[in-house]
Amino acid sequence: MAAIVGDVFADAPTPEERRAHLAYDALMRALAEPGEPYRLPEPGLAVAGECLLDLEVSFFTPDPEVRRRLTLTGARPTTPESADYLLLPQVDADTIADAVKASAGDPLYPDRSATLFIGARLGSGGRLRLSGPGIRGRRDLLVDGIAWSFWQERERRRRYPLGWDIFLVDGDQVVGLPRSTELEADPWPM
Amino acid sequence: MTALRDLVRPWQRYSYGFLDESAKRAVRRGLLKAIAIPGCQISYASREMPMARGWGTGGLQVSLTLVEPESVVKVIDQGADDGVNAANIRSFIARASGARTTTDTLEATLIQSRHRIPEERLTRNQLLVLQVPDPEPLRAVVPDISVARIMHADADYGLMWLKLYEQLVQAGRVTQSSSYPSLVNGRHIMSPSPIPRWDTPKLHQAENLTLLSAGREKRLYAVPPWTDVKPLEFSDVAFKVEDQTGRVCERTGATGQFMNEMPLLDGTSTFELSDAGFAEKLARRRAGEAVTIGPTYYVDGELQP
Repeated sequence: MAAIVGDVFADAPTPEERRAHLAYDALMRALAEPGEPYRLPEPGLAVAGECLLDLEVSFFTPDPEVRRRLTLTGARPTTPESADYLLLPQVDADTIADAVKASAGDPLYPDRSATLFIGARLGSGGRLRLSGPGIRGRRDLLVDGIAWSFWQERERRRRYPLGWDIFLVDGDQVVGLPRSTELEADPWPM
Repeated sequence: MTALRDLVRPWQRYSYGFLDESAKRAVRRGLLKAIAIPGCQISYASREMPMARGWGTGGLQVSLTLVEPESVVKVIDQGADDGVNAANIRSFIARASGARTTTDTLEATLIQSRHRIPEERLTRNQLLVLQVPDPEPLRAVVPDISVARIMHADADYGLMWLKLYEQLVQAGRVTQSSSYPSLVNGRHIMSPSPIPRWDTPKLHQAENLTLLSAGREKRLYAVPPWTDVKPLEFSDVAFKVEDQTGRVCERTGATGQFMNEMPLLDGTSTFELSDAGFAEKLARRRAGEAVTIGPTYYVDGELQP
């Protein structure tokens, strides 16, 4: 049978390694199944950023505590236009301006687009009807606490394969909305 | 101000799963982009591994990023769990993570494979990692990767169709036997890695997430669950998988699955199942053991919906 040659040399993961792994696992599965909630190891945006960021990338966040924690990864704080990762605790009428500055990527390098982590309330509010990769047929998602015109902006900036990859975070729940997801918002923002 | 000591992590003999946290984060970032743009190749900083490039370092880096102590790991090489390359990769992942290993597809949570997809259907919670030698499907028609990148950006895939057409007029059939170019999510043509044509339809609207990684070429790409993966075909010349009619596995008596052909001295051939873990289970059931065999993608050579 499948015998292991030699001893296990790995120590158990440290609490930080464990937390980063669990956070990434939730993000990956959430993005692979858009609209399906997964659980982060702790509430908030910082834990999601910590499993991805290091000194090779930049981020933007208006939240001082998230900024403090992410600076410890070595990542550079920068402006919303140039950030690889935007962590926005709230997208409302006042703060939507930051969100819509995010980069949608370059036709040659569609992966150079921004990833947005946005605080929202899941399970109530307006309806998003999702379809596309990762979704068998259609899936409905109820979202509240986010300026509804954001969805219009997402469509305006989305020229697949260009677009934003979005994670909605409610406490320790996370939902992924990759650029590949076709989205109908009900009501459609006017 | 951040002090230098705040950026330093405590000393460890090895990071969990061998890769250091920065290497893992780079792979994680790449994988998320790959999942968001199915079939699009994402560059990443493929690290040095304790194994030569070209022997599965790409798949290994993804597996080591995904593995956790609760994982059950299966590694196959052309369907076989006991190939030297597969056995060593499996041992290394287990030694670097403390994860359990298996040869049973149903039991595995993380499957790294070189050039085969198991015959038993993968399900939602299983992760499939495919090793990729050449991630660029356009390489055969455009040797310059910068030009290939522009063609991907423009969805300019005419030369790919021309290549298949030339095979058709020269040989009377499409001769591409593995790495069959496939259109993912209606947008990007990808190489599904050198899996046989037989395995290509298994990616279409699959239940599981498939991650493809080329260590030497430093590219990641992915096929999320429930995603269209369509092998290129002409409206009047349909895509065909390898015909397994009349082939009977010598060890298990199985038919209608992908077989390895083994030439005999008298010029004839005998066959055995390519999926060794599946064959082992069939053989054990034949010997009277109670084993669970999952539903397969193909039954009697016919792809099941």
